[in-house]
Amino acid sequence: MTGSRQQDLIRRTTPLTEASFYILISLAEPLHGYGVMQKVMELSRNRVQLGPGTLYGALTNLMSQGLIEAVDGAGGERKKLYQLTEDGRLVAEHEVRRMEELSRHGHMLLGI
Amino acid sequence: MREVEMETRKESEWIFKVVWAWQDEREEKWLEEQAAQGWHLEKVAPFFYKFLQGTPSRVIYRMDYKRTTDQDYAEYRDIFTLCGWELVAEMANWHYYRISPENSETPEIYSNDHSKAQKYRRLLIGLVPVMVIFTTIFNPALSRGLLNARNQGDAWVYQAAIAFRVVIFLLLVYVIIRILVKIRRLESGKKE
Repeated sequence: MTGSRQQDLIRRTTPLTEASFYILISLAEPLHGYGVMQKVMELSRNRVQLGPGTLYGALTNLMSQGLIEAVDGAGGERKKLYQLTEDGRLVAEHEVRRMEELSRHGHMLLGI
Repeated sequence: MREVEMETRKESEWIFKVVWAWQDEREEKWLEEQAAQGWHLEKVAPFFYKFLQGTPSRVIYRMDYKRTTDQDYAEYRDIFTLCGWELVAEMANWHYYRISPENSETPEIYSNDHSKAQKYRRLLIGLVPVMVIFTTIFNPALSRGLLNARNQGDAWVYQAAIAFRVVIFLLLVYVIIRILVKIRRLESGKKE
């Protein structure tokens, strides 16, 4: 992937909302829509609660941006499984680094 | 007024109520008030609501707009069902969901304003065909009867038809502006 394409992708898709970020990192392994919701609640200890409308909307958006993709489930399951794409991983990693920087500067200037 | 209404109500009842497309939050609140009085939504038709009498309870109603002809409709429905929301009724792509909350928290189908704005964007797109159909059907120039009326000296019939069309058109424009204002308000806030 060329540098300018990467930059373009990141400019187009970030900053992610908190909900989208959590959904994205949850999909490092394939999950159903409902599985994503449970995983996000578990990770954030119920702080980030995803309503079905928000979850569905975020999944649709992330799909159309090419950050996640639908994969065929094992055993011909009816429900769609979602998974992070290469682009999605790139964007998620960028966001993690961006937030690390925020956090580092916060610690530095607030002396915590 | 309210007491008289209660006395005359039977086990099930249809209620007439005019609600505009941008007033879905008011409609949700109204349905919740009915449930608190023991009247639970059963069916929805344009401007009519059918309620069944039951136990007064705290029920949360939420409305969502989604085209039933969309390719991902089954997936959409699955997510709501799995999250515990019961689809009570569907009318003109408006979905009436309800849930009985487990605690004092109010469950929401949208957890942030950004995704809620998307619902109204879908509604706007859904209104485009309505707009086209209305302006076509009520076009007096397309009605032979009305053209005859004009030619035979009943010009007022023709003019009334044109006035009616203008009113409908302005109403649709007003609805669209109200929805745009709503989207703008939701999207101007911070993302979470």
